[in-house]
Amino acid sequence: MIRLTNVSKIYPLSGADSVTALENVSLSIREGELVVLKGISGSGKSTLLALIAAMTKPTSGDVVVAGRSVAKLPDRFASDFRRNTIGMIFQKFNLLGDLSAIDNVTLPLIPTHESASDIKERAYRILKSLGVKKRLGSLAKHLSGGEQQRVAIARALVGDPAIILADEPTASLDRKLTLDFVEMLKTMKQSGKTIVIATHDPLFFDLGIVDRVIEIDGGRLA
Amino acid sequence: MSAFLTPDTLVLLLIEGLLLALMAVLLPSLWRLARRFDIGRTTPEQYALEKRAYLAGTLLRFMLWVKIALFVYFVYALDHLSGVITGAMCAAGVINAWDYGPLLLGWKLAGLYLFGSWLVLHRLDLSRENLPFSRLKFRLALGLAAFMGVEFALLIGYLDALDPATIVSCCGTLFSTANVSALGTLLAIPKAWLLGVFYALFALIVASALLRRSGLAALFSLLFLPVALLAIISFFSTYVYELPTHTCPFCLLQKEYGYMGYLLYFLLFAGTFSLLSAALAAKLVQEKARFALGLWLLGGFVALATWYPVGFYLKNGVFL
Amino acid sequence: MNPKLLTFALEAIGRRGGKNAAVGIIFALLVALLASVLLTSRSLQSEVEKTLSALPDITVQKLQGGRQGLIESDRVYAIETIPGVTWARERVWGYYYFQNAGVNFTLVGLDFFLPAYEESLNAAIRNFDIATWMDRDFMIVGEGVERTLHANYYKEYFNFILPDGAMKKVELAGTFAAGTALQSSDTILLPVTLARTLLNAPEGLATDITVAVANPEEVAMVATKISRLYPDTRVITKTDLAGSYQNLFDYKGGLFLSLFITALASFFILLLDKSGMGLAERREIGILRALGWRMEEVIRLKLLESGIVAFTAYLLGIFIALGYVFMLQAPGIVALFEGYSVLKPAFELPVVIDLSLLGLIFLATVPLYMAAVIFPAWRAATIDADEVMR
Ligand SMILES: Nc1ncnc2c1ncn2[C@@H]1O[C@H](COP(=O)(O)OP(=O)(O)OP(=O)(O)O)[C@@H](O)[C@H]1O
Ligand SMILES: [Mg+2]
Repeated sequence: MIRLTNVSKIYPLSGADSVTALENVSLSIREGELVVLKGISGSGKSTLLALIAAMTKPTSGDVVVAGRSVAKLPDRFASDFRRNTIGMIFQKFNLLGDLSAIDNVTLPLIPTHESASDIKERAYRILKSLGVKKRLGSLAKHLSGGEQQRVAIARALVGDPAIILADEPTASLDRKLTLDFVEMLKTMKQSGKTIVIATHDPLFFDLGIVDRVIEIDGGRLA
Repeated sequence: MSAFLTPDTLVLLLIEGLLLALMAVLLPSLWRLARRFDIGRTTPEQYALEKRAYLAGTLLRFMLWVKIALFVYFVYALDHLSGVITGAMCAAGVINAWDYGPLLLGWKLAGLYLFGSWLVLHRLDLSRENLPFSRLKFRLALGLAAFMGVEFALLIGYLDALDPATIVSCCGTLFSTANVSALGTLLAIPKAWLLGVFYALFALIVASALLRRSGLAALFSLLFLPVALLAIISFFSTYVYELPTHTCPFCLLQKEYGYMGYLLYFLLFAGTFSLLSAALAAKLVQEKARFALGLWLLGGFVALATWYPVGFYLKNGVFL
Repeated sequence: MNPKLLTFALEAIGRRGGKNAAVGIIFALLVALLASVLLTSRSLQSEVEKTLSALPDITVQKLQGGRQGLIESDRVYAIETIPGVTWARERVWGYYYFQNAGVNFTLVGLDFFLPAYEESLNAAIRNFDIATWMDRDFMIVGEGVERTLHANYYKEYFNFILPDGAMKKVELAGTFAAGTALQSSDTILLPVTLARTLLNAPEGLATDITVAVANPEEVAMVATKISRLYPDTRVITKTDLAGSYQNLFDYKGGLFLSLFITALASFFILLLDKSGMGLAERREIGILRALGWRMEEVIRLKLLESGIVAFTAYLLGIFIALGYVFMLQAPGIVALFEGYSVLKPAFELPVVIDLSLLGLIFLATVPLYMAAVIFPAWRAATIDADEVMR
């Protein structure tokens, strides 16, 4: 499903300096697998996710996701790929505070050709399945942390992606909400999604549903 | 006084100048893109170039569409100026008020086809994952920049030469067969001949399009354009005016004739362009040519043009 | 056009309402300024065209000390002998300032038994029964005059104050509807002898002399002959006037437009400089990009937003201008075209709205706006999608 071959990512800094965020990383993740990326801050977890999501391009090496080499896609194809294949969950949720819960969920599908009522309907169904039944019309900034988290997950799922990428999804959640998130993970895994979670929360390292923990350190696989 | 300061010409100058300024701003980017863009590379320079390419592509697309729309405004402004310039009854006299006026008009007309072709190339390029035509299209864009520069110079020269006080000829003398010019000679071609070629070429276009011979379809479309213009001047226009001696391609644009010239020329230009670009696209990306739109437009043109003499005959029982 | 994108753009405009309203209002005011000037110019132009078409081929005025004075009536006969002249007639007319209302009336002396020098004047008095008013001091007034008089409680007569301070009572005999500007609603038609008294023009002198020439080609030649015959006169031909007014309007309109465009351009350069994307807007775009929006979709969104603002502001500006010009009579702007006041001081701007003018104003303003937003839009759209992960 996901295969990285000798991937390096170097960020140029001002002058001749540069940061090597990833160095010669090769890994492969099977369809339906739930993988945890473990590593300290600055080790390159987010960069790895961004490469899989075709948000950025590797300096060298190849990234093949769902059978496509996404490393060199021009923006139009990379964006479509992201919209159709990837669901992203961010640490800070990245909701638009001035939009309602439901409008946040439909956000990825606005430029598509599906009708407005269809995508609303879909967003509503997903929110309901995640336990958000009230306050669908409230502005995201007025929602509680738990509600915001569910809206963010619903937004990742609304395009029915094959792959879910989560970047430190529980870093700003308390214990109870983190456990809620694990429950939702289970459901996602049962529905056959490939899931990659970047985190340094030890809770995930020996969780029953986790298939594999990949450790990353200073841009290399440990 | 020069005609610079009428609101019409000022707006024309403003927008053309604005577009040229944008083009100038883009030039360094285009130059770099034309030389260094390479989708296969993963260097920071290439990432920066890809972003530049989006800017350049978006801006060019916007600008070229504005240029195409502006052509209509240009023609309108010419027609409007005919009220100011002594002796001009329609845009024909106005455009001929400067020796290079006809060159300017031809240049702008050629521009329509060039800009349109570039837009087609741009669309094809963006529709492929490997952006196969990026370098080519940016090289061509450099050419377009030069083309627009010359056009702007011609426009300035033209507006500067316009003088409401000079007396120009009206279309009656410009498009008469007695005119000792290349055009006069062409207009002297017997009408039966001209019409024969006109309809024959149209039939050939339809046949080659249906048989999917895109090269032939393009060739015949290219030939059809001048023949159609001649046929409008010397034959079809007389039926619009219902006057055998009134042969003019410009009066058609006026209110008295319901502005039908705009429709007629739109059908002709859009139709031939659509056929040409379909052939070009088929050649470039090896796919089946989409001729349908072009055929409909051109068919509409032929039908509309033919309607005038036929309608006249039905009404009066004779031809002019 | 994707309706979802349109809705989204509209909502986005609302979310940044303050900023959009500020830019939109400034833009609307600029459009209104340009539109007011051009609408006024076009309106005056149509008025001038109407007036000019009613004007005699040649008008002869006498100059005294550089200003217009009264001209000897008997010059008419000499002028009529010039070949090509159909007729020449004296005119007695002038302005009367009505202090109570603060308005100028135009007094026109007519010989009610002869056809007037102007077809429109004949039309005005066609239904008037002269026999009942013989030997009385009477006047026929335009509708505007009648309104003013009624407002000042004059129903059946009006007291003119003569140049020597005495009062002159003149009966109101009838009204006529305003046709062209020259004979517009501020006009008062009077018997010529009465007009002479009111305007202090002695018998034998006239305000000016008008000349009709049968063949338009000969007008210039006749005019030259008249000014040779009477070096103390100013000879004005209709084509002189038409040409100079046409030029005046095109020139002043054009001059204003170029100044305006410079101002507008600098406004946008300022805008471009100051109004980069706000932090919140950048973040929003980063999120959209991370969620799979294409760069072109983001650019389209941004152009749509500014396009909606620009178009709304354009419409608003046009409406403001229409109100300003045709309801408030364009205070301040008419003065731009002051050359006109020589011909005609007070009148209502006729409502002339031509679509090509509105199109021209659109083309002169909106593309500038769009050009000014393309660069910020691009800069925003090319934000790296992974920026939101940091
Ligand atoms: N756009 C960028 N420009 C320059 N350096 C960058 C950029 N993005 C990331 N880096 C650097 O690359 C390295 C890896 O960053 P990355 O965000 O992938 O780490 P991470 O494991 O996600 O860390 P964290 O746990 O703090 O999120 C860091 O040293 C970071 O400073
Ligand atoms: Mg990170």
